[in-house]
Amino acid sequence: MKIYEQSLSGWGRYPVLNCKTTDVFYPLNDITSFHEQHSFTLRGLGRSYGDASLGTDNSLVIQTQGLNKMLSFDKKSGVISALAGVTLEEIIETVVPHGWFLPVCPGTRFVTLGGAVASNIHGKNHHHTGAINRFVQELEIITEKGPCICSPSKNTDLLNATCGGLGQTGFIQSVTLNLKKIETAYIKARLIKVKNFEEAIHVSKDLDSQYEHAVAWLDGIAKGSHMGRGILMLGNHAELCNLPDSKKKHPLKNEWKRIWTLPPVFPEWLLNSTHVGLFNSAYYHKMIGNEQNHLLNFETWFFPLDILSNWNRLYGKKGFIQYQFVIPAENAEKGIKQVLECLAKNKLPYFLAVLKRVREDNVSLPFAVPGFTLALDISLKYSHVFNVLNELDSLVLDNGGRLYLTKDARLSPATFRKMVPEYESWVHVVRKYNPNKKFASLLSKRLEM
Amino acid sequence: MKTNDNFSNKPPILIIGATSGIAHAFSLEAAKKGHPLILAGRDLKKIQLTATDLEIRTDANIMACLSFDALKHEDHFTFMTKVLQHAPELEGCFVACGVMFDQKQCESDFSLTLETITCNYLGMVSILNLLANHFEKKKKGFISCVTSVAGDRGRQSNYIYGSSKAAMNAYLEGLRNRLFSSHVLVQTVKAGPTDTPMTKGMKNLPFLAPPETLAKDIWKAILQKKDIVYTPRIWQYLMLIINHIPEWFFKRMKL
Ligand SMILES: Cc1cc2nc3c(=O)[nH]c(=O)nc-3n(C[C@H](O)[C@H](O)[C@H](O)COP(=O)(O)OP(=O)(O)OC[C@H]3O[C@@H](n4cnc5c(N)ncnc54)[C@H](O)[C@@H]3O)c2cc1C
Ligand SMILES: NC(=O)c1ccc[n+]([C@@H]2O[C@H](COP(=O)([O-])OP(=O)(O)OC[C@H]3O[C@@H](n4cnc5c(N)ncnc54)[C@H](OP(=O)(O)O)[C@@H]3O)[C@@H](O)[C@H]2O)c1
Repeated sequence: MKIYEQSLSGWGRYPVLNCKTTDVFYPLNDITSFHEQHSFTLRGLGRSYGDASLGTDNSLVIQTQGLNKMLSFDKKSGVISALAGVTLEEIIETVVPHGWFLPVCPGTRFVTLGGAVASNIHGKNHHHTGAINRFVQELEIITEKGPCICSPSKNTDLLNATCGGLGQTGFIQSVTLNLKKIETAYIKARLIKVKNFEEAIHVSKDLDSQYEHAVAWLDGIAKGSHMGRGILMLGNHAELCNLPDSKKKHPLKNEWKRIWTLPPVFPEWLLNSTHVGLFNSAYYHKMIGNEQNHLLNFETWFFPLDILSNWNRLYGKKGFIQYQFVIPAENAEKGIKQVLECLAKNKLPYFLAVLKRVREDNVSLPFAVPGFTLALDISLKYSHVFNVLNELDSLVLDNGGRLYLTKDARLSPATFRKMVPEYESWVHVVRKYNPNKKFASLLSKRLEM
Repeated sequence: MKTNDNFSNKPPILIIGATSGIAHAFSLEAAKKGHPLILAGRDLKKIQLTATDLEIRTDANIMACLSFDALKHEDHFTFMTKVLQHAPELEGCFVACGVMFDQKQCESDFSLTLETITCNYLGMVSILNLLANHFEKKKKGFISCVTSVAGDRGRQSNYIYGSSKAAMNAYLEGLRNRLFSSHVLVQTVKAGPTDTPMTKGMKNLPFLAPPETLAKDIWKAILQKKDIVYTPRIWQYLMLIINHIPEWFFKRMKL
């Protein structure tokens, strides 16, 4: 086993840290004899934004990308089992030709199964379907005490603490997932222009029960009465009868688009409010009329950002934070307004905001509560960012909301505990299986877990 | 470009070192084209995991998983017999096993140097001699063997490994010469640095190619009956330059 130093960061490229690292390629039987280490940090593809997959001074980062073998796939019942390093892209490539699809898709397909479960990822269908934990049939987890199988009928406490547990309960070695049946690889999409975020919330509330997928893209630059103007995107998986004849022959065909790469150094001044304002405005006005209907292939619908492999470099060397929070339905409009106003008051631009309605998460350390979540990409080149984000934390907290930890890099332990009263009972299960805190990360250290 | 599929009746292919990153990608490519595979490697459990994975991803037909250790020359004859029991019609073989240790450690610990040469050269010669006899008799087939761009010139940072690959290059050249009249393709695959378990954690590598790129290149080169392939393609041009650096200058370089 090679152990080496590597400079690591999450997708937001903040913080960047030298970590002691190793790789696994085949299943392990037990982790503690694996190496004499103080503790272990698990890392998949590093698509969490902040410090969730970074090591601490005395932890060994175990990279799971090499753990990439599929274990079984029942084409009749749509159940797939694979080692934790298999990516969502690989799952899609394997199952789509047989008429199955991932039950939950995040905004990128470059995520490992282990990472997806550990973050309890959600997608555009959260309001309808919930997060990925609802589809986990079984996990094999290596805890301090050895390998442990958990499922909705066995060791459920471990299952519920692991989904969304950010690697703190142990090393997820394999995942068995129930897939979703599809007839075609297309999405019937309906796009509706919204004048501001309030309208986005209202239209969303009225319409999204008819759609499995619903998300609103909001322009972060537009000011005044245009604040939060955007496009609400609603969609359902298309059925065979929805396809034009030209597509009926190969309804499950999927060919990924070519992926582009930005040069390693990208001048950060290129990404500024003027440029993004122009882009957003063009994007908004490109849509003619107030409503459009399209038949989109699933790549365009689910993974529009994946076309640029390293778009995170647009934010330059200092990186960025994705501030994603959820606010309960009753406070959503008020809370989101306060947050956007606070950003405007502090002249802190965000380029893009993604708004969507969510239902509750039934796991021990939940992110979503029934309400609305908003995700804002904020550049770290402004010196006052951290102060403003602290202000936002108080607003979110006052409105009964909380942050999505897999995107976080700076929340304080005190605020975290206030936001997440479930923490105590979750950590109790974590310690039941890992009394010696063998699994840790920079995030768990920062949040004093 | 003309890519005649000469193996249209889809004869079986033997993959030696089937757990390797490059071999896994190549197996996927071959299985997608409908070729049955025999997978061989030193750890049967890992090989079986690889077989299941290939079956799930491509509906591959895995005829057998066999254990093969490059270091155990004495077992190679029995291994070959088993291969031919499973696939008397064997028409192709892809070889991708090898080890690469840290050069400095090889310099101070001869056992590592010995393993490098035994695995990467002697072991390959031992099994390829047997395979060559089979294909020579059949008067058709291919042997595609992964060596490395590191075999083209000896560099202070990696010449133990590099020389084991250089020896393979010369061996394959000779074998190609011998089997030419028997219509057997002997292909030398000079691979550049690739993202596989072998290169994890290695510093100072220029860039790592995805194994899928190599697999596609190699498959195409087999169909085109190419004797020597550099993959990814850029290495053909880079090595053209590097191979022309005169020795008096090369020896002064920090490579
Ligand atoms: C462009 C983009 C869009 C995104 N969109 C969404 C979205 O729509 N919805 C959403 O929910 N998320 C989204 N994300 C976040 C992403 O889905 C999650 O952060 C996911 O966990 C990343 O997976 P990874 O394999 O990269 O894991 P990493 O980032 O490497 O790790 C994430 C966490 O999982 C833990 N972990 C990883 N592997 C294991 C394992 N085998 N066992 C135990 N713990 C493990 C790590 O310790 C860490 O805490 C997006 C990210 C990007 C970059
Ligand atoms: N990666 C590169 O940058 C690169 C560049 C040029 C050439 N190559 C060559 O490409 C080939 C494949 O390597 P890779 O990059 O795919 O690396 P890899 O994944 O590490 O594969 C090495 C393979 O060799 C096998 N092996 C090692 N010792 C063996 C033995 N004694 N008997 C049988 N099998 C043995 C390994 O088996 P286990 O899985 O059981 O360990 C593994 O399957 C090697 O010949 C390598 O030298 C690699």
